[in-house]
Amino acid sequence: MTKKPLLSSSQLVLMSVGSAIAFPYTFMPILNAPPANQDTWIVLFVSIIYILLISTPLLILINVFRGFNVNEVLETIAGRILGKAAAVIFSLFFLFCFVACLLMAVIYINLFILPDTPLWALLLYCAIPISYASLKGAGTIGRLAFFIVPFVILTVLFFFLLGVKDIDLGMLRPVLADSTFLEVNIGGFYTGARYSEILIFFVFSYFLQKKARVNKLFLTAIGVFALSFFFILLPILTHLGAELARHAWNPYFIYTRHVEGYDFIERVQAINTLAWFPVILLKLIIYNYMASYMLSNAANAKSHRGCVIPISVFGSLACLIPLLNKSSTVELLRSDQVFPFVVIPVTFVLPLLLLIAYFFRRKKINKIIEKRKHIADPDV
Amino acid sequence: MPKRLFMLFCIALVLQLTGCWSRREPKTLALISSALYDLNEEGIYSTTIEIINPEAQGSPQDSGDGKSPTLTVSGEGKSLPEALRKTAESLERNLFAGQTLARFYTERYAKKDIVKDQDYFLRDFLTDEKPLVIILRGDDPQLLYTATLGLSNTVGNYIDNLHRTQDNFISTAVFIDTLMFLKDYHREGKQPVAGVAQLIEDDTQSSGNESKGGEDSGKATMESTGREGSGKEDKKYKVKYEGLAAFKDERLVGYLDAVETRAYKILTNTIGNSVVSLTDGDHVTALHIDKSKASLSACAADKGKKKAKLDVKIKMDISVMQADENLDVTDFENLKALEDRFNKQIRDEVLRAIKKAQTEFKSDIFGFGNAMHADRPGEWKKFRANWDESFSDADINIRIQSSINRSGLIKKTIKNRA
Amino acid sequence: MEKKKIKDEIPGSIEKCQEAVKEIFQSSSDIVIDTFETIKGMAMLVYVDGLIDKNLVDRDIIAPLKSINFEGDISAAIRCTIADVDNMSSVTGQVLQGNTAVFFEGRKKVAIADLKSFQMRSVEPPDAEASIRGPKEGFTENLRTNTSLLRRKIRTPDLIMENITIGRQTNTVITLAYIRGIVNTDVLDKVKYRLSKIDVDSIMESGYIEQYITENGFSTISGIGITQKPDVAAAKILEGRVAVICDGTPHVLTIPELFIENIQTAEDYYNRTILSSLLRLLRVLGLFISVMLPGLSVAVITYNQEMMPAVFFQNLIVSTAKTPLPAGAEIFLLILMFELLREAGTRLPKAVGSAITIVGALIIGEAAVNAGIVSAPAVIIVALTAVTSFIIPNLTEFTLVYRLILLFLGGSMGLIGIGAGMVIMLTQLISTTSFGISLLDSFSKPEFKDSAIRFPLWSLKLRPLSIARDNIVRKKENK
Repeated sequence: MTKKPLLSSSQLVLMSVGSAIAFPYTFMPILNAPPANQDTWIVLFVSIIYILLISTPLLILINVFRGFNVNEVLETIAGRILGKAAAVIFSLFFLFCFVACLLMAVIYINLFILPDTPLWALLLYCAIPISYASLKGAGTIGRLAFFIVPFVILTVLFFFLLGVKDIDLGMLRPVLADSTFLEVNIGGFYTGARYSEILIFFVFSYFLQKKARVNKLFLTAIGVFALSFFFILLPILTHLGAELARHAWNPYFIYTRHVEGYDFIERVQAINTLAWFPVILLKLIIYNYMASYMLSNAANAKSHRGCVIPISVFGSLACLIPLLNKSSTVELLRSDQVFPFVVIPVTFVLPLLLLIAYFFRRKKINKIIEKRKHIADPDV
Repeated sequence: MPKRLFMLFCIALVLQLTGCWSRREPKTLALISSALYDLNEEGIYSTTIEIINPEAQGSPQDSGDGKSPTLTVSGEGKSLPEALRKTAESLERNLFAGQTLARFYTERYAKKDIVKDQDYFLRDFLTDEKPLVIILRGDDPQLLYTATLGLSNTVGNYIDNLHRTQDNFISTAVFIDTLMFLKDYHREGKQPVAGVAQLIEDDTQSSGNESKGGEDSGKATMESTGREGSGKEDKKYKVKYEGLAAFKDERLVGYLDAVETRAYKILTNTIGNSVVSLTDGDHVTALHIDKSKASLSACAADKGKKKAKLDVKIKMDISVMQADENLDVTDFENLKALEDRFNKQIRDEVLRAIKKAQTEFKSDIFGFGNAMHADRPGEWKKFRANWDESFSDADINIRIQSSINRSGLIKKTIKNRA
Repeated sequence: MEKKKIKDEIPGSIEKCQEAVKEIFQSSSDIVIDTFETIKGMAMLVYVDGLIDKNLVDRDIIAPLKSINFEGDISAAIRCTIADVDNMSSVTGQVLQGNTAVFFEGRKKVAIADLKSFQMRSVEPPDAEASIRGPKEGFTENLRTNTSLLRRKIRTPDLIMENITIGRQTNTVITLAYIRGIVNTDVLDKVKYRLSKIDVDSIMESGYIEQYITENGFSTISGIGITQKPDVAAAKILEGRVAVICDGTPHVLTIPELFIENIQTAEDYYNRTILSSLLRLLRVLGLFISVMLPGLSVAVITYNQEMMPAVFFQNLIVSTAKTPLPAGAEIFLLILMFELLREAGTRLPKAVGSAITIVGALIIGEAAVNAGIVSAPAVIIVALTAVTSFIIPNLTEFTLVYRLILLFLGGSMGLIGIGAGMVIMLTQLISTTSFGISLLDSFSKPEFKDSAIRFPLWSLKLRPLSIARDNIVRKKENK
């Protein structure tokens, strides 16, 4: 048996940041969430509270079941059949995210970068790297994130610094006057509810080095995510204004097209593209891996490899369905009507049920965990 | 893994062979430098685009072979995109609008609605929101592309170079790109403005090979044997880029002249540096605005909250560029008096500009409403619906503080012999 | 098998021995069988002509045996014996290694004397890896010289040199050099295991070994380092690596090799910190340019023209308007031309080589542009790529393959293609391991100090953690 790959804590953090930043990077759903005005940056910070609230049940489960892989956790809590059912629900969710994200990515490319290229060619260019990296497994994905995500954060900072001389903080005023407390909270909830990256911790913490502390890592991940998000959001709000930004498909793209520096840096949105595409691939790789990992475990397969290519092919074929292949579909996915309501059951409701089940069967499960600890570290 | 890599390699090769869909080879492109849009009374759009002829760019000696540095083509259509496509009909290259520098709109077009057509520029893949928005005044806008330009060879370059070098220097013109224009349009309590270009007859002799004698034949004969100006064909025009076009929502409502434009730039804190001349009979003092910070505010003037009050506070650092003999820069009192004269003049200019916006345009181009929105969101809610009316008959209160901090390299004015 | 075993024994009498030896070597002209009489009985020497020093044989073997003081005890008489073997196959092996076998009447064992002396190249500066500062000596083709060069650098009993013979026909001697207590034992075991699994006819050069033991057969990176310089090999051994020295070649393998080592040179450690760090960053830049530039430039030229400065773009249009090929094909053609010229240049004799260079420079640089086959910007791009490809010679395979892949991807999909190619390239690099150690793992904090930049030597307290596992402290804390 091959050794299980080890992820360092920074890799896991960067994975979740990369995956979470992909949506704001592509288009900013937060701009359309209420109150949809210059207070959006407050919504961003409010949403962190909601992210923390929503992620709590899963975080507790992760901490209790350190050293267990996801399917073991599910089966220990819910029993064999229910556990498998939960695993299938999770993997279906990952599959949905995969397809949705792939669809957004290719349609976005088609709109902004390569307008005349047929969809199948774009899908090919996405599916091959995705399958390749996903086949390589968790360790590779972690290291991939370690190289891609810092590059992305650097480009975000680069664009921020280029635009810093034109930042007009007056665009952010008046603060909290045009929006009610309720609106900000609803916006925060919708934004927070999109955050499904706690599931990355759920799946990948099994591969984490023993000494790493998941809670701390999760907080770091959210902090880094919020900061990068802020550095994307602030220039948009101050350069374009919330109103104009809401008209755009990808306001950040427009912003990056607009920055200027040193007389020769002009219309450099290509740099944005160059950073954006790998990070969206990273997100897709992670979701592909998680879906195939959970599916194969639920099917008692030895490795996740069997599911990777079928999932990629399925995703690609789904994107080719004429009904889905429309900008308006992406507009729907981007709106507050789909993602929050798909994510919440998986990141909050289901884990909450599992947590309740765990508390009812606490004694039995704790015994299993104790036993497992002894087997896992005979030398300790 | 190696097999898969090899597969990818093969696929890439195949794709390369079957054609790369979105590829644009540079040699097939026609670079648009600037474009002129017009909309006539019948609702027909006409577009004239200025295409760079890259072969004829470069040093002036190269253009001696008779190739024109630009090519202008035009087309008409019922919508802007259609008109643009028409222009390309007789063109053997693909239009490339990715580096367009300026978009000119005719006066009559701007008076209708230019905002709704910006939709196309933002929606289309190749066009973007970088080009400057310029309103072209004059009866015959088509003469734009026959105008003589400074040292640049295309109108787009001319405006762009002007923007890069002169934006901070002349302060009598605004350079508004499409994004800024739309941003102002979408902003609460601020009306958009745009740059203004005017075609005027070029009655000065431009140096170099361009001088073929204008209508002012007297000057032409001074230089050489002189080809007599043979009437109207030889009339030369040049582009005068000065002033500001004020909009009310999407319609052009009027223009500010150079001095009022400077007031606008002072009020919106976009003034770079500028020279202000104070005249008093024969005495002239030139002052230089180093730094200027204006803060606008607006509030309800009465309890009924119907009438608004506009408040302007301006703080300026200025320096002496040229002094007349009365000025003693070592004397504080003397400087104080000068500051007061300066304040008064600026105050008059600013007042003139605001009054014009209030009475002529009835459009808040300075963003007083925006200031009220930011500072007094509660009051703004009441004024918001009818802000333009409230703005038009609002009271104005202007306070200007200036201080002369530097007075140049000499202490006494050079005219003083004592 | 049975028969052979019987034959393997050393016969008692010299005649039988002679027969046995002749049977083994048949009538090889370079095998010398010298039978002579001593006062205690017949003796026979077997050696390969040309591999030994005959004067020494006379002095150290024949003279003592023929002397009247000889008492019949071979090992006492001959001082230079290194072994006593009791079967014929060992004798054969030793003789072929260049040792001298001494048979004696009635003795069931054969004394082996080491009196090797053969023609070899002296220690010279290596042709690659030239350095301005630091030792100039390079490894030679002789295994013993090479080990001595290493031993002169590391004078500790912990430097272990293990010999393994590989190659059914060539019987090449291979020495594993490592430092006990520092070496990564996982790697060492793997190296030994994989070496023991090699079962081939011949090992002509260390490249054979490299290809037999690497786990990345089809990858563009082998994960095994090659050096010709003893100081480099010694430094790598001291970091916990294993050196594989193969007889007959000056190229020594160091195992494992991380990716970052390709941009490090020995001089980085001899020069001062800031200069070394800047040079390393320059090499990283060179690597990026070498891999990415053609693809990236094609992507920008044909897909993202808007980001080019306007003046340059106009010039580009002018210069490409007169050439027949699209930008991607143009650059591909030039890369092809450059690789052809380079290949021709390396294989040709030096005198002709310069002619090729001149012709190449003229064809590529001047005539091709004037004739309108390629455009000047394409020439500049490929020239820059070519120059940078020499900065990191060890990665030629990697850069060439990915340069072409990225060129095609950039040409067919613009920056999206480049992005996809980058992800694939990264994935391959990341997932490649060398003897169980990931190639791009050198970014932990202590290792970062000696990666793309180099901190002062006094701050490099630990050995690279991904390689050395047990004994990681190389510099004690100053009190």
